[in-house]
Amino acid sequence: MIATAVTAGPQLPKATPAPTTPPAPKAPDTTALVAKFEDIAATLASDDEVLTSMAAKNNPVGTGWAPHLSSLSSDLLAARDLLVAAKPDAAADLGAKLAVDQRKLAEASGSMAVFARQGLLLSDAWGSYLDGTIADVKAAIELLKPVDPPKPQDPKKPTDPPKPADPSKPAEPKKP
Amino acid sequence: MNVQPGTYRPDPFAWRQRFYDIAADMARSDAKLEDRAAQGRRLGSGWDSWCKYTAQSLLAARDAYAILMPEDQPMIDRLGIHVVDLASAAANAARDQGSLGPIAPEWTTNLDAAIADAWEATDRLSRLAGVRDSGARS
Repeated sequence: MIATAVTAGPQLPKATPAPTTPPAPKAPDTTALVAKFEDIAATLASDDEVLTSMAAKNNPVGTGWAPHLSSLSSDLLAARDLLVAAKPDAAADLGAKLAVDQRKLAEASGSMAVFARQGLLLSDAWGSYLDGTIADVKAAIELLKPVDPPKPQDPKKPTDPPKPADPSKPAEPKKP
Repeated sequence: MNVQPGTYRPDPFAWRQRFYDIAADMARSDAKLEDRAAQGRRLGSGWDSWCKYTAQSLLAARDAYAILMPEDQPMIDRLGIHVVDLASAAANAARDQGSLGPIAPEWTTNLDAAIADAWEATDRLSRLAGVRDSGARS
């Protein structure tokens, strides 16, 4: 290698950040997101019930569980992304918890595939496997749901009851 | 490390490197798995933990990618699928590690799509960061 002293020469182009600025992320539709989390919560609650029953009754695991949990895991990941985008400050911790929940669901999917293939039964621990995830999803719903504003005061004044007749004043006799 | 969207903007250089490391690690592991399969060896221990750890790392990298490249939703979605697949593979690994038989054939292809997308994400972040050469892969 020949060393050359370059005093003045062509400058290599410096690494420059791409000039394009990323588009501002769209604010997620909170109502739709609540509905999405509610769907997930309902599915999880139903799954939890079935898994608890399967474990108690020693029912074998069917082949549908693995794809179902895998799909649910993907749904939870998508919902969690939107939650963090909608509430970046408030949802930071919950976003991290939901990420763990999402991986747990994916791991459960793999476990179910193994159980189904090998005809294994569920242990009792599966009855509580989804509990933490359900709690976190419910927390997400609570976070997203708007707080009800205080009810406005009724502008109408309450109607006073009719005043009783002053007993000190004698009632005028009715004119015939 | 979890990356949360918001006012924070991840450093594209750092996350490009992170994707590079993940892709390289997966590629090395894939080569090991193929080697074991070719030799008819058993899976061996530690793969379940590796799958879980890699799923976690890939999720963090995906979150950063989603902030840096929000317009690239197809890649964000694919990376999410790889996270699910890797976490799911952990359970299969836990089972197969106990087996005395040779490695299951699917282990030689399990990581292929994830590796390809991790390399692709590395390249795209390189372009975003203005790096002309994303680095040699071989």
